Amino acid sequence: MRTLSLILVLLSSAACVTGQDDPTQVKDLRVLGMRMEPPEVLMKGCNAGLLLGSLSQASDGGSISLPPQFAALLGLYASTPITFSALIADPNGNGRQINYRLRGCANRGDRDCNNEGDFVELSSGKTTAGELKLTIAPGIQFLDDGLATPLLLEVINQDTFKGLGGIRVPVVLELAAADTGETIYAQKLMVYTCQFFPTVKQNVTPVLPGIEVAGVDWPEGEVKEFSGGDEVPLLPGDFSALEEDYVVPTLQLKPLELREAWKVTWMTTSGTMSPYNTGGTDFVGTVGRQNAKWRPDKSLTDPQDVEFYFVVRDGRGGSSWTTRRARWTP
Amino acid sequence: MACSRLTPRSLLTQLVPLAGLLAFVSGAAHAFEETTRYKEVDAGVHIPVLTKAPALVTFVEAQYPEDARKKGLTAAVKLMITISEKGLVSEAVVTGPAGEGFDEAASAAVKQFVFTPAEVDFAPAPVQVEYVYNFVLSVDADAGTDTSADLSPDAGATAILEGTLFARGSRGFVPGAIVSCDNAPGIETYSSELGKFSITVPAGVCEVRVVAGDFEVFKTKEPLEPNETKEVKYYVLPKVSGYQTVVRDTKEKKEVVRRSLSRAEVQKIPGTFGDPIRVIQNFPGVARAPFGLGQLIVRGANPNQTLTFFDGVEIPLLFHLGGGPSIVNGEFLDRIDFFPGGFGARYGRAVGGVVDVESRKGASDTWHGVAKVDLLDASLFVEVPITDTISVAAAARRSYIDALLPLVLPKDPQGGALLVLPAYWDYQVRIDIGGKKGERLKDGQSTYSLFAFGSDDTLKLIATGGGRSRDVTVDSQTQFHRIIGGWNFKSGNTTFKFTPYVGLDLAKVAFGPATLKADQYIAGARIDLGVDINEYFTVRAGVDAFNKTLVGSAEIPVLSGTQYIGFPGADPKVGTQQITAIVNTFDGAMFAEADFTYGRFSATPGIRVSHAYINGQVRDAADPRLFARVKLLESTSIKGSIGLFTQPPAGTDMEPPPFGTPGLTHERAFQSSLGVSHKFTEFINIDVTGFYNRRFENVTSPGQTIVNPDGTVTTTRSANLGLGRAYGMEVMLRHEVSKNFFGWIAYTLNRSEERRVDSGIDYVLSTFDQTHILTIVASYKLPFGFELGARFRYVTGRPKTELTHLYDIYQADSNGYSGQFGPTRAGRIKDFNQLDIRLDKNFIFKTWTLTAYLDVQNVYNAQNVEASFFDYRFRTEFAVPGIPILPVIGVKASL
Repeated sequence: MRTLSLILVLLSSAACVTGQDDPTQVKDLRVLGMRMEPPEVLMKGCNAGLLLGSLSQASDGGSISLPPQFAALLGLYASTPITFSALIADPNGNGRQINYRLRGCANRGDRDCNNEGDFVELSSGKTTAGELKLTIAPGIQFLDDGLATPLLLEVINQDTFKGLGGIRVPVVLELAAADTGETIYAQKLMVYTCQFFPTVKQNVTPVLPGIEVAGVDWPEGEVKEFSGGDEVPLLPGDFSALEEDYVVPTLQLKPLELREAWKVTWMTTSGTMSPYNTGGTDFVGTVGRQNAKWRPDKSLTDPQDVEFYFVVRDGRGGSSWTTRRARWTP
Repeated sequence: MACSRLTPRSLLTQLVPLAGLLAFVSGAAHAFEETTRYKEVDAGVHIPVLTKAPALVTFVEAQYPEDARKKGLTAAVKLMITISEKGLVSEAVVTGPAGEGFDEAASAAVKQFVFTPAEVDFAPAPVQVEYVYNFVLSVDADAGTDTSADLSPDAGATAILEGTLFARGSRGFVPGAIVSCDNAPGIETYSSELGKFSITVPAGVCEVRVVAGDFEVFKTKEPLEPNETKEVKYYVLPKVSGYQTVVRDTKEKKEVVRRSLSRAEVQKIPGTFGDPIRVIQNFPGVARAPFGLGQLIVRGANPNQTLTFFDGVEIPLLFHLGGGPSIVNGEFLDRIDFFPGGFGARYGRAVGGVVDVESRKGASDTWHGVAKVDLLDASLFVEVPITDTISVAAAARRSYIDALLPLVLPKDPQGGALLVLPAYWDYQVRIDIGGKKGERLKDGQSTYSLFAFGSDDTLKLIATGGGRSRDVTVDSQTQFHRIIGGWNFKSGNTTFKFTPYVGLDLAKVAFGPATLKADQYIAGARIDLGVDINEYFTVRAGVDAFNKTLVGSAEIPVLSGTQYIGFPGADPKVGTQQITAIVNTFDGAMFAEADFTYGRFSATPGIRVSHAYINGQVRDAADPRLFARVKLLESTSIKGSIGLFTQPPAGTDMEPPPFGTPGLTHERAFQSSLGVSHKFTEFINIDVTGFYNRRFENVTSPGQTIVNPDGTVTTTRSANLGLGRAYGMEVMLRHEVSKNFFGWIAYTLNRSEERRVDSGIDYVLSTFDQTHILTIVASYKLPFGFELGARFRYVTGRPKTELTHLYDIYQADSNGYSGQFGPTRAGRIKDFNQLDIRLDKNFIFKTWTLTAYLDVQNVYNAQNVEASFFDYRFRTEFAVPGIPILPVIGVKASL
């Protein structure tokens, strides 16, 4: 009870502090979403024993001796080409050039993926704001650690649960504005999952079936006209039928049935959204409603072109987005 | 950065803490007032308290100075008299001279007075009291004045005047007062312990005069018919005499540092709202808790490593609603002992400090009561003597914030339902049989007591519907009850105390569909045996044992991270699970210690041995301890201590994985201290204590994760992997309670560090480390019933880990950002400083007293920082401000 009160007092005081940046406002260089297609690679014939066995056999004091079964998995599944996408926003960049590097890491805690010998280069080049799309195969990479350790094997090695929750390869995108040198990083996990049980199925990317404004469908490409200072209610199309049932292993390697609870993130280049995220479940399992509002910036006196970004996540690594445009007059 | 407006987004988080803040502020209204301060805060070592005041048994009339008599002069001579432990007046110093020969006459008479011996810590001791000798011109019967006509219209007829003397404003009796008729010289009587008197005087108009030591002279006229027996009640006004001065016999105590508080002291410290625990926070060795909450952070230990006992029995809660009023009515507090470390073998199960709160007996003179009504709650306290040896005291309190809050809450800005309903109640009942309040146990005597108390806190929070994307409902209740028995017995040099107790703790919390429930049944007993073998050797021993059975149940979702490996981002829909557990804990301890005294040297070796059976597992511990003291000079002592201390894990922490860690064992600590105390003057003394504490096998979270050969994973919730060390120095420079003033300067130089064994990281500052803690407290009694107090604090800011933003790092799966930080807790938040002032005013009426006070926190509105947080990209750090200037007004009536 005392802890609860302390937390509430802290929250209260925090709420008193004004001038904070609002995450729903997109006003500078940001990565708003990252997507892997497919979002998950399901490896049949893979089990916990194999993963643990691979680790013990691979550490023979200097050279990597890949167990045949694990090598087969790499060849069969881990080499699957992945389409990587990133939604890059740079509203004040005026179309400036952005340099990018994409790396695969062994250590999830290496947020900018710079630990020597612990990452692999996946791609690099130049891009601009918008959607960056690349084809990669992080699962078949080998580290430049002098031993040519398979990235997947090192990921398992550095994972507390040794791959039981999936072999989660951190993929890190580095963006650097060519004019100012401003640099940001964004990390996403690419998941290679062992099919522990026959009921385990590969994840499918969540896609919002649409966006509604005040109950009316807002097709992609249509520029809406908004005016005045009133809030604009926004809803995603009903996706309840698209949320997948799936099975994960418990820590005791028993199957546990779950169902996705998609979470939608709402962002805009003008005004604010409320709330930032809708849907998903909270810590006691209650599912949130999908109701968001756009609040125009009433301090503006000139008409604005407004970009909206709606990113959906399925809680298993699957993610996609859709965008809308509107014209707002005060 | 100050709060400038209430936005709809922040409304929910504004309202709930508002309730907490109101509850916190309400602590002000729980103050207890006493017109006389008779105990005092320790000055670094234990200072005994006056347990029995001296009573005048032999009054000697002063010889009226002849010149003054001829001039028709009267006078009141004020004296400070020292009464020996035998009740004789050893010294009388005139402090309020009247001249004209009155001073010499008064001094000569007073030196012949005989008192009952005063007792300090229940032992006869010398004390100092203020006495006013009143010289009044008596009418000389032989002078042939006509006064006799007033007195006795019917010559030779008499009347009886009898009645009771009450202390005005409190309903207390006035014993030992001289009652006389001015116009009937030579006829006088003394009031009894219950303030009763009876005097036979000639019929007529009696010019009544009542003279008592600490009271103003009372005069009235009573017409008395011949043979009439007239019964009266007189309300005698106590002098606004300032703090009572007590010369204390120095009594050695085994603890190096033991600081004691009386109920009276806790009222007067500004900014503490009369809450004893918060007063303790003004002592050396105690770090400041964030937001001024009630946590006790003692010598670098975590708050849960300092235990609080009530009459020797541990209590689960200290405050209502987490930081509101104390769960026990302040009227029931008699004394608080605080041990920042190095406590005796009687106490255990703590590796930090110990707070022992002692309840008090009910009144033995007459009934008294206190009724209080304020913004948050109403309470009633009553104490009644049933017979000469049986007394009852009872109190109850109920809040009504839950009824008032909806009236002041704004309409739900989201258009749905918004309710915040905090509520609490508590009760206490104590029955004492045998012996009176303040009396020392006599040889062969037994006393018995039964003390029952309990508390209940509920909090309902409902925020549903409207434009919300997520409903929030919280329903929590914490309730406990304790019944503590007591049997005290003395035979010769042996004292025996038996304290059986039973308890019931009920707790439940529901967040939406998830519920947690835990009911605990407790039975235990303490036995304390003390034998004074001779002047060199005293032995104390005892048993301290309890059994707890916890019946817990939960209906919660399958837990991500605990039962399966979740993925960052959107948590899935998952089924709920029913979890039930019955956890038994037995903990039995035996302790023994002996005081050896030889000349200027004394030592107390002791040991506490415990055997615990916690959740099916045996845990044993043995804690040897040693205290020693050398009295270098009459006013200077050196003292030191070393010892081991253990704290058992909770039974619920030893549940099977993943909810617990069966292998947990005792947390342990080695504590040592070395100090010196010196008395500069009768009132000013200093205590300097250095300490070094090392804690090991601390329970830390998370536990360990082990992947088994079959691929399954075992995770534990916690592990004995914590290490901690704290070292520093505490200084207490104190001006003891004198006539009008008391105060102290407490300074702590401290460094507390911690590390986790398996982290590979060296010691870092602990969360609550505060290098310099300075507290200055002073209280001065002004004329006309005013009292002014002030408290100033300066505290080094708590450690924080500095934000070192170089670039954004976005986590696409969880849609959050990672911060970049410097070395762990290498920085600090801004230093804290604050001045609090309190002004009290007593209004004394015939049978009751009204006390009003103004307590202003943060008088000069210092811009303190309580915590900090970051923007969503971890680019900027924002400070969470402390309280601004906060005036609180309180009123209380007592009788």
